[in-house]
Amino acid sequence: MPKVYRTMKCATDRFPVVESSNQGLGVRSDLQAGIVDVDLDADGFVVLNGHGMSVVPEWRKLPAFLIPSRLRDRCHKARGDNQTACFTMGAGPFQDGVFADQLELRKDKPHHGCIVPSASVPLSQFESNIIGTRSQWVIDEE
Amino acid sequence: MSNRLFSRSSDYLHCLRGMHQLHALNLSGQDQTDEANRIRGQMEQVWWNLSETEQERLDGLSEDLYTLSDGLWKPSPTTPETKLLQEQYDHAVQTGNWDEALNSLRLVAHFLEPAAVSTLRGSIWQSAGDPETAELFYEHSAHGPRNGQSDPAKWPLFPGQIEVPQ
Repeated sequence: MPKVYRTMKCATDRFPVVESSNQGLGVRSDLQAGIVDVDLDADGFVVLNGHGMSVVPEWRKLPAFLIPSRLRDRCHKARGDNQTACFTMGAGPFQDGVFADQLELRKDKPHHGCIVPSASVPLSQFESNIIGTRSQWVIDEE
Repeated sequence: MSNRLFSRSSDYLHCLRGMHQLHALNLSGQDQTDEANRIRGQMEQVWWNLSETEQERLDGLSEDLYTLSDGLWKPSPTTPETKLLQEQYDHAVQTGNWDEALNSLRLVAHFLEPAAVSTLRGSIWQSAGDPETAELFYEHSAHGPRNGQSDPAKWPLFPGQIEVPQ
């Protein structure tokens, strides 16, 4: 399972907040909001085009505006929301492959990839699979 | 890649302007607001369309912009590596490699007076075809202390040697 990082809001139980946003454990699919992480077909199934929940191989590889600014002492560019934390999950190299049950990592750049469904499933199923990983994410800001 | 102007692609400019906006919000103490998060969300939408060079440039800009609002500067003692860093910077300026110039300057910035560094950064961004970002640094330079010296050739560390992009 590849090791990935993502900044997300931290719930009181120290696990990521489940939320369809760029700051939560989830994906955005609401076209009306103008920002989507996944594309859906006419039947509401997730299109397998590499789009999904954005992740990186190291938290310092995140763009400056996604690294909490409270981490400036160890990452001088940090300019992100301090309500978020750098979460990680997995242990293997950052390469295409199985990430969790019915989920895969698909790289689109050396330092970026997306968590995508292993097969085309309804959006609700994809979201459930992502939420199913919640207890496996831990904070790592070292 | 030498002597090239920085990108003016729409995605790059979108992220550049977002960085300017986050900097302005930081200066006014509003960088931890919903408005700031809205800007961050919009930047993320196109961030991964940028080249690695563009991403590194904007991440570096984020770090450099903090120097415009940070507190008192304490000069660092020079080291044997200082001369090498100066040569790297000079070569980058002479060849118009603006990204390398910004990166090299960042490595020696703590040896130099902040106002002097801002003037140099402004000159580099201006030379790279981005007067808006240059102005942010020029403005700081105009109001910052220079220990009475307005002539770059008399600034600390590289007297008479440091290159100011024309």
